[in-house]
Order: sequence, then C-alpha cells, then structure tokens
Amino acid sequence: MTTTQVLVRLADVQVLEGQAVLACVGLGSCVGVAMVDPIAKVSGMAHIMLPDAVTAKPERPGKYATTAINYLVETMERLGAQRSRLIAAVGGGAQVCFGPTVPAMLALGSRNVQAVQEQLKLHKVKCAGEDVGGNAGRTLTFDSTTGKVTVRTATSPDRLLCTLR
Amino acid sequence: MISSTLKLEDIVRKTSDLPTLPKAALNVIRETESPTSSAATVAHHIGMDQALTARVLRLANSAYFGLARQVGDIQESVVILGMRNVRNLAIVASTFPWMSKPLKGYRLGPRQMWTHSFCVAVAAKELALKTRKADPDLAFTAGLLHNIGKVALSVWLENKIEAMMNVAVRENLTFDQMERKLLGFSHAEVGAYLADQWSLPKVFVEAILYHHSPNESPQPNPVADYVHIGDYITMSVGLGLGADGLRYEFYPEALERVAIDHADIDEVLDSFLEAQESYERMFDDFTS
Repeated sequence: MTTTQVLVRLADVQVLEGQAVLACVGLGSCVGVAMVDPIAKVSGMAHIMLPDAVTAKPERPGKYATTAINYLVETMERLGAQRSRLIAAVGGGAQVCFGPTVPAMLALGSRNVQAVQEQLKLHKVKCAGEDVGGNAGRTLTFDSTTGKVTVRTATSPDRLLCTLR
Repeated sequence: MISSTLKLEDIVRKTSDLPTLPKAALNVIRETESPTSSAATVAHHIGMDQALTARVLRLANSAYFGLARQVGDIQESVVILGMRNVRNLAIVASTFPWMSKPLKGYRLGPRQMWTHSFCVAVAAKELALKTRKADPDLAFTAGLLHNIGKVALSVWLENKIEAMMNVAVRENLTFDQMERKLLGFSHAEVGAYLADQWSLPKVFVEAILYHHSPNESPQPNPVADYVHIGDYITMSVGLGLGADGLRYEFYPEALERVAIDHADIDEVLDSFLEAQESYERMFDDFTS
C-alpha cells in the first residue's frame, strides 16, 4: 500500500483514508491540528490562520479556528470516523516577534492556540500533545501509519511530539 | 567567528553576490516621490531598458491583470494599467531575478526571500491604504526592498546561523542584535547602505534601516512603520521564514503612529491570503 504525502497549505484542511503523511510547513502564529480516528484509519490536518472570522461569511472554513475544527471533524465523520474516537495533536501558535512588548490583542499565536483548544473541547476531541508558543517557526508532520506526530524548527531536527493511536 | 572590526563598506565590497538594480529601475524608484513624476517619465525610464521593458510587458500581460487584449508597449500599458501599477511592475520585475534565489546563510530556499519581501510590500500597501499616513506606493516599494541587506549578508552567515540562534536564545538577543554582535552590522544597516549607494530617496533608505526598530527613526517615518507592521503580518503567517524565524522585536508605538489597530491587522491578514495567491499566479506566468 502506498503512502500519500500531503502538504496542508495556509487556511487549508485535508482529510484522507488509509496511509498518509500530512504536514503543515512554516507555522508562525498559525496553528496546525493533526487528527485521527485510529480505528477507522481516517486522518486529517488543518492549517489555521486566525481565531475567528473577520468577514460574516467565511469562504474558507480552514482559515479560522471557529470553523476549521468543525469542518475537519465533520469531513472526517463523512469518511467513517467516529467523533468519540478522534484524537488530536496541536503545533504552532508562536509569538511573532520577540520581547514582552507585544500587546495581548496582537499576540495572534496565543489567541489562535486558545481558540483551537476551545474548539477541540467543544467538539469533545482529546488533545494528546501540543507544542505551541515560543519564537520559532515550525513544521508539524503526522504519519498515520505509525501515528507519530513530529515537530521540526528551522534550526532543530524532527522531534517526536506524541503518538496518536 | 568573524572579526567585528570589519567595516560595513568592507563587508559590501567583499561580497561577490550583491543585489543590483538596472539603471532604468533606479530612475523609476528615485522618481517615486518626485512631483514631476508622470506617466510619460515612467514610460520613458522603462523604455530605455529593453530587457526591463520586456519583463514589465510580460507581467502586464499576465493572467493576473486579465486584460481583454495584450498590451504591446510601455506607453499602452501605462494608459491601460495606470502609471502607479506600471511603476510597481518595473520595480517588481527588477528585483524578482535576484530576490528569488535561495539565501543559504538565512536558510531560505528558492523564492522564499522573494515571497516574504513581496508579501511585506503587499501588506504595507494595504495598511497604508487603510490610514493614508504615507503614499501606499512608497510603502509597497519600501516593503519590497526592506530585506535587501540579507542578500548581501547571507554568504557571511553560511554554516553559522544555528550557532547564532543558540547564542541569541542564551543571551536573550533578537536576531538583528545577534548580527551586530557577530558582524558589527545588521541586515537592516547593510540594506540601508546599499540603498544609499544606489541614491534611493531618503524615505526608502530610512524605512530599510528602521524596519526592525521604527522607534529609532529621528523623525516619524510612517513608511518604516507600515513596513514594520507588514513584516509582522508576513512573519505571522510564516511566509518566507528563515532560520532567524520570528526572533525580532515588535514596537506597538508604530501602530499608534499610523493609526492601525489589531482589527485592521486581522482584516489585512484575512484578505492577505487571497491577494498573495493571486499575485503568485502573476509570477507563475513570469517564470514559465
């Protein structure tokens, strides 16, 4: 069986059945969410930019935490996943720009992380691991064959965050 | 480690791969602030350089502008697209060839430096369009050029950036402070030096110099403020992040000076992706 490799771009949500490697590359304040139903073998990933929609009718559900998690969960359910079995891992949400002077409302990274955590809770999805905050841009990778979620920064190699199974 | 007794001129003189701008493009940029700048003078400057003319026409005829018929010369493109658009196209066409190369020293792959610079230009222009504290075209050009110093410094940082980041974390330094510690100069200072050597208007030299430290500008420079905030927005979405990552300071005073609030930033971020994707299509045509 071949493994599908999928790059999840900004504001995108990807859902797949079977063996797949999904990755969000270059997460700054954006948050990557990997999710799997290990029994149904349905996996997904979202690359979330903002906590909430600025426009009334968002064109891309993957862009906002408030719409992306719901879209990810529902799309996975359509492929046979069961909500009660879903587990997730979260990476990204860095503080863009260094120093203590960034006003709270501009701290997009932490606003994104908080919004994602609230949405996971709302959808009753367990979060098995997270690597968030700091000042480094990250790449989040999920290999559905092994269940391993890894995080890499520009100056450090892949590090195991958790295993989703 | 490199001796910090090197002078900025030495660094620039000893760098073989310096960015260059054709004379015609320099004339177009130098005229940006001029009250006598007109469609005719912009067309004249571009028309003096055949290669630049060809590149501007390719961009003007790209799918991005969706013109009903092809434009055949610069005068016609100025009439159809407007003088400001064509002026920006000339600057974009002149910087794309060298800005799209990888910068090993900063761990930037092909086109990453370009994507980052272009996105900062777009964000700075969008911000300036919101509050009009400076000409949006000036903000665009300054955004495009803000990191030219990285092109010159990259070769000096090859194989050093991990060690630099480790020291920066240990000593709680921003990356531009770390550049100064290692080389004696930051990429902002090197970029401003280059812009000055090219005789670019002061507004650009200072916007490049103060893009990471807008509070240090001796007089208010709203263009530097827009670029500072545009850089923040572009880093936020992780576009063209190198190994120096997000390790730069943000000055909220810049927001106050140009009357931008967090809702404006969210709005620019929200519309930014669509704008960036459509611009990227312009360059797909350009490079095909």
